[in-house]
Amino acid sequence: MEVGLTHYLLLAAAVFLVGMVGFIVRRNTLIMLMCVELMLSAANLVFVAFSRELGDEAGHVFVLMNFAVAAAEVAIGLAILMEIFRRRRSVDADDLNTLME
Amino acid sequence: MITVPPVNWPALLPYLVIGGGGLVVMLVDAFVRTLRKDHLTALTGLVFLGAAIAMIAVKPEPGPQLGGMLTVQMYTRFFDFLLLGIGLVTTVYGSAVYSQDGDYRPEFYPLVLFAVLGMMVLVAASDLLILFLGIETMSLAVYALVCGRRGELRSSEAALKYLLLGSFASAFLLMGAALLYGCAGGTSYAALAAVGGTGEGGPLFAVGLGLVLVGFAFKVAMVPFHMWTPDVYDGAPAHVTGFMATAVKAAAFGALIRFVTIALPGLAAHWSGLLTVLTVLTMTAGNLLALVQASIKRMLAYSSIAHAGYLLLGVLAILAPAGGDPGRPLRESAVVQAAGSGLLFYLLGYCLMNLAAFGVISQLGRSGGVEADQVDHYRGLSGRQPVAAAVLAVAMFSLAGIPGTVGFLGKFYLFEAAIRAQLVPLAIWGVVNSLLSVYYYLRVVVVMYMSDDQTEPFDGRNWETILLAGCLAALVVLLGVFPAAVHGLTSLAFGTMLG
Amino acid sequence: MTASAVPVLLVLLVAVLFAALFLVLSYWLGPRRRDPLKESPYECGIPARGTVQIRFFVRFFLVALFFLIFDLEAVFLYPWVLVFRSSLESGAAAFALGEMGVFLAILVTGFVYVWRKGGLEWQ
Repeated sequence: MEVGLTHYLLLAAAVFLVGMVGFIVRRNTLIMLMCVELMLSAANLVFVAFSRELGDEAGHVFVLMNFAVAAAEVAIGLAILMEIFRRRRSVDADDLNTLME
Repeated sequence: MITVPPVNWPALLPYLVIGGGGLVVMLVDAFVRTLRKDHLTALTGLVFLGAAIAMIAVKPEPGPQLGGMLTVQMYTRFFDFLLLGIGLVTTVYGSAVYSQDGDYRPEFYPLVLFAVLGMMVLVAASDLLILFLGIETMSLAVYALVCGRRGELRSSEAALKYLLLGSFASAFLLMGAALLYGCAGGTSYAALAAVGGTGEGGPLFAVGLGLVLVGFAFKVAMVPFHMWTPDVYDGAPAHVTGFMATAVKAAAFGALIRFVTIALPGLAAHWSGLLTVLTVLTMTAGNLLALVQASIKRMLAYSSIAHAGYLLLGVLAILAPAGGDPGRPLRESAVVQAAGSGLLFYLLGYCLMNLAAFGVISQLGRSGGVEADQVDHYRGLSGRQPVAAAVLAVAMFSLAGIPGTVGFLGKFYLFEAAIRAQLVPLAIWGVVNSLLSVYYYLRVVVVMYMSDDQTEPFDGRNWETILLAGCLAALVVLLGVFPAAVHGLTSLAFGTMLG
Repeated sequence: MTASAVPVLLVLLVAVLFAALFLVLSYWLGPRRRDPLKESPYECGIPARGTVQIRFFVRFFLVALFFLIFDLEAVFLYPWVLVFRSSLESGAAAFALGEMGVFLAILVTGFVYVWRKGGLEWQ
């Protein structure tokens, strides 16, 4: 059996769905951030798979940029989370209810 | 073997000025300890002015830059000026708020600069990579801006919510971009147009397109991807909310309009049904929910959703096949031209009136850790602060679309274009919606002018902010009475994008 | 390839089944008498004290964040190194060097900012 584009795409779709469902189901904001990272990784996988298939480097460039963007996103997310945790002692999404009226 | 694309420095100068300026502001903040507090404001203002002067003084040859990554043309320059203006106004509002509070936040200034840089790049993007980087540069800076008050739970929570949902949306956008890349064999808009223009990209292309549009829908707060808007607008400090309501929305729409017209002229055949439903939902849900808000910031959040609906109507008018003939090419149509210039005019007016409103809100100061948020806080404002009340009233009239203001004309141009594109039921629904919206906008005016002056604790007053908001309100009226010159300009700008 | 994999899969399957069988059997048949001495970690360390969730000092966290950001930027250096030699031949070396200089300058600006703002102070 040859591992081809379809397999990569299926794997990426599975990882993406795991991330998406996790984001929706889980209430721990830290885990929600991780789920977003999973989704980004799935997109990276698609880029690399297509890049190989097409023999084109643009996909690789995209993936490198995504690394940096994802890191920046996590850094800002964790910094905000830390600020909230200091005051709230909780990172549960359901506790983020100060704004609900 | 690498090849270096020709670099057209004059065309890139504004971006370099803003980006470099942001770094300089950071370094000055880090190294100059004996800084007077308004030095950073002045420096940031100078950077914005410098970029504007660079755009006026240096007239580059319009066209694609850096091997087709960005396109600089009159359309992008129109947005650049708009975004620079919003950045400048936000800087002034912000520094006024921080000096009122005695809470000095130096990181505010570089963040605004970087956000504006991301927005300018976003609008100019001609490649999915630059589109993504622009959106992220803008969003990351804005996430941090929302968290603009140290130790205040409300703004931290708003920031976390915005970040979580925003990055969720970015993941969709990225996945969509990956699929489009695979189907089109490249990431440039031109490559997408070659495949998408014919409407025969296959199912994977359609899925990719849908995911990218979901990403956009989050950024412009389109129903059903609007859930973050009220909480984030409410939790962020008012001057940041103003920035988000205007600059983020303008940039996202600027990029969306470019994306759909350049990359996907064949879009209408596949997506117009779904887009129509979303447009109707966005208008209606925004207006209905705005009716029941007691908080003025939440009301303006829902109102911004409703306005996104009106703008989507314009986008639909661009996409609608001219004269019911799907085979007719997009760029020959006068309807497209009318819808496009209407959109730009509307965006300009929308930014002016919202900035004026948020300026007044932000300068009222804080009491007990919250801003003047409830509509009740504005009871009798006309007695205490007649100028501020008048400015807010003008903004509300314009948002409601009362004739004589820019809000009316913007809606007029948009609905007229929609009717010419044979979207008559949608245009009528838009008019009904904007009549509905009159109620909640005018409620604020009524409360300000017709109720007794209760001594409210919000007695902040900042003349710089009021003056600036007053100028914006004057522009709202001026453009509402003499629109011809500016409307000609937006028409010309949109024309350059069609090429 | 598919056909030759069948015996391997069979062996794997049998192994898993056997392991599962004996686990179930010992759970089912084995007598269980609890007493505290038996449950203490005999010759396996000392009884645990406190909770497993240790609270980390917030400084560790901050340093980890900075590390994450600056470490990831190294990803951009690697492809640049790979193509730099070819840029020497095509005469674009000055441009390539300048680009990397700008990139590093921006990175250093960020680092200096963090440093001056006291993000690296350990207290």
